[in-house]
Amino acid sequence: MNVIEVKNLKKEFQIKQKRAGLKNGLAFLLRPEYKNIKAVDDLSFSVSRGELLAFIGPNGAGKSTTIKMLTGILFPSSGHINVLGFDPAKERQKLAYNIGSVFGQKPQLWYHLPAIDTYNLLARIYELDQREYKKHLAFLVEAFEIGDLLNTPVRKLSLGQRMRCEIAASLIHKPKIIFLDEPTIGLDVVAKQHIREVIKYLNEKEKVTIFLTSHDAGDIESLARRTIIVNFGKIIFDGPTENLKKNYIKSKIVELVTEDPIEDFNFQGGKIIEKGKFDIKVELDISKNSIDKLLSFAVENFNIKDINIFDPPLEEIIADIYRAQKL
Amino acid sequence: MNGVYALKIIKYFEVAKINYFNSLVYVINALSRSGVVVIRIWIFAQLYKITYTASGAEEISGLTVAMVVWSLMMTQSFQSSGRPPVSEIIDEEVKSGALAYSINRPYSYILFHLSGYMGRGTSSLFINLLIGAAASLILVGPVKITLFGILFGAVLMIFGRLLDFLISFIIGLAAFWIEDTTAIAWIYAKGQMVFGGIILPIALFPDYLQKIAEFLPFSQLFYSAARLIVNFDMELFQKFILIQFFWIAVFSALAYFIFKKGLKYVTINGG
Repeated sequence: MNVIEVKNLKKEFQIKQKRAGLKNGLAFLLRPEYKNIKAVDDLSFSVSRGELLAFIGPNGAGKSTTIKMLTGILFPSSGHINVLGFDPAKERQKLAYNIGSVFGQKPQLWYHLPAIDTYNLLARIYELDQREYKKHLAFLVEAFEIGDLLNTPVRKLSLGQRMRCEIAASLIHKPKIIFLDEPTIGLDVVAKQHIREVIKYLNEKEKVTIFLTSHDAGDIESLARRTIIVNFGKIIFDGPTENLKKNYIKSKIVELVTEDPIEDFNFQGGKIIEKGKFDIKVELDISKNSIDKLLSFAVENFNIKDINIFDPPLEEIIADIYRAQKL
Repeated sequence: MNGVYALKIIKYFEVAKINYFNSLVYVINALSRSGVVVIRIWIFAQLYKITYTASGAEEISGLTVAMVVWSLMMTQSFQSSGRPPVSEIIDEEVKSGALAYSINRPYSYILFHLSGYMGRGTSSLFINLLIGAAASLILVGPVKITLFGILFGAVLMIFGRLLDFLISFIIGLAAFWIEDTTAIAWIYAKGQMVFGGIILPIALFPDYLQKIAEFLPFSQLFYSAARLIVNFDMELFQKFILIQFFWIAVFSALAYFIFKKGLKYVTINGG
């Protein structure tokens, strides 16, 4: 069953264009010039209940604009959106009871007050039964490990601690869908890992549908079963995350460990990306060369002790997709 | 059914409460604002003492020097407790992108900001009045304040604050269209200064100007309540409350209309 349905969604903005200089500044006051920007250009997709979807793209691709239209904050220029049976633009408040959102760079907790004050306020805003709220809060406190942080003013929390508290705040009212816009931005490795575990838990155990945007390939690889890539407001990939690797991998990384020191490695078509005395990493363009040829070359010229073959990191694959779109 | 309505009302009470507690964090700010009120009253006390002595009058338009200073103290205290203005908060919400949260909750955006405004101003209102009253007492002595004056003045003060909120809210909504609302907020502040009884009680204006100023919304924000408290007059109360209701009706309709219209134009910075 689909919980989000988007058909032919478009959003255009008018942005003022001001040229530098006093003369241009005065001319701009009299006759402002505008440029039309297509932030979202004919998007169509759907999301099923319980899905964990990564919605990714380079900066300015239209991700956040799409999320803001799905949550009813922005009005579409044209197209159709249905989220949990509601039209977000017309039924924003009714929808708000059923969805949660976290905008990674924007705080929702009261900065000078402890997080518990914001939670209590949100419980009232969402008109929750107080007994049910206390029970659910106890669960969130345990899941997010924020028991010790509840009574500390938010300004005193580290970024990782604050993000856990922020996500917990968006779950106070048990939303059916949660929109996470860059939830791990600026976090260290451990804090990122913690947030990912919580997201996974929410999706798997609590069956919350998760709509995630992130620039962190680690988030996508470890969390999302399905990925949509947007660029210039259009969808350029929509499918299982593992297919991203299958369909878009153009190279393999071959690591060789030898018995003898490696002086020269003159294999045409391979790019040396790392070289030690007894080991070497070669990136091979598999559309032009086969791994078989590389291995034959290695066996002929060296006493091979170990061989490892890797896919390039997802981050690079995604970067290649973005770059290909720009050309 | 009553329970459902109670839940809807409680949420706004809670918004006011959290704003009240948050404002306590800025108690130094509130105290410094009270300090500014005291300095101004001291200047006005000197100014009006000289003016009254020069004119040789005990009373001008029914107001003694003490009444003028007390009324200015109250007008300034009411005005100062409305800081920061709602226009500044909405403007900042649009600029920082925090609007993505504040606009997307199951409440009325207007009532959410109204509750916040009322909650935020409560602590500084009492601090201002307490410190301002002590300073006025030292500078010009007591004035006769009646219970009726306090009660009816409090009614005008509440509606005056509502009116201030509505105008400031509308200025804030301009941020949905324009980049910066500070210029409009500046004009509004200057209007208050000239016609709002902040530096010169409207009772001291020439007759024709007094009539115009009393009908303008600026005088109904903070001045009308202060004027009634220092010198209670039932007829004046009836006149002021009717003018307040008129402007509240006008600005409520405008706020509702502009907000509905503005929602379609809203853009949120930072993606």
